[in-house]
Amino acid sequence: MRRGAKTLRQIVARCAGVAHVSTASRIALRDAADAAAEFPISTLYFGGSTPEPLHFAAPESTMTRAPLLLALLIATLPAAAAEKGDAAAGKTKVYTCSGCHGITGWKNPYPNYHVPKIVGQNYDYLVNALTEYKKGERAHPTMRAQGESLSDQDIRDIATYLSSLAP
Amino acid sequence: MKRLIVSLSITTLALAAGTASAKGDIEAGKAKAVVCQACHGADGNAVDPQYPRLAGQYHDYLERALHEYKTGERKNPIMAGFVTTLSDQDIENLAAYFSSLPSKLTDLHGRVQGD
Repeated sequence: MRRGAKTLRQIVARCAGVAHVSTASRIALRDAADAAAEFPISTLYFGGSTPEPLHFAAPESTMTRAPLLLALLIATLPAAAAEKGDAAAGKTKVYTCSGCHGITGWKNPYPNYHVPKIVGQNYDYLVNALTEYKKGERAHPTMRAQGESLSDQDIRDIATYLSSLAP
Repeated sequence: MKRLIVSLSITTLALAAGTASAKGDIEAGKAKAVVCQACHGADGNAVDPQYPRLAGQYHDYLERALHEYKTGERKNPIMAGFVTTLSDQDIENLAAYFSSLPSKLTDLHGRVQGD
């Protein structure tokens, strides 16, 4: 398919507008858009079973920049998609959590308050909370110990599973 | 007589449980909760995933969390700003209000692989 008179800036800006792209990726995309300036890619070929060689109508100096910018654009997208973890793996990893968070009305002996309900909680909040326990930025001793035993992947898997259960 | 004692003790227990779960003033909490809604949702079920859902969470956990933001045991620049204006009574009222709302939150009972 041959694209119309679109600039790289427009395409990058469109990618940045897609939902679920993280803030960091959005910033990277915006920077890429700025760097791309008004570089015309109206003569680029995309897709098709027998792709023709790329033709650049742009001057030589911008030709060398184009693959680099496209690579940057592609590199930022999978990072955004990989943010969430594996819900099925999370379901296995919450086994330990259920010792306290699986008993309705359970209270910690000390400090004495109800263990929070975590099923159906929001994804980013869960990731942040577990990461804060892991780093010791939240004081709770039991949760700090639990957090230390979790990898970043474990945290993403658990948060994905718990947040997926919201009614 | 025995029956009366039994029924009286059941009533006492029920009352004790009732007061334990509703220490604060829900209506006063609702009035204070207007500023919370921007992030935590009009119904306490935050849509933006970076903010926690509060609706139906245990009142004593919510109280504890607010106190921890106040003492700095929990560090969050947004919450640190809000809690400075809250008295202990405000915190109790807010916790009573949010815990009284219809919840999307539950516990892990029956939700673990193999259950």
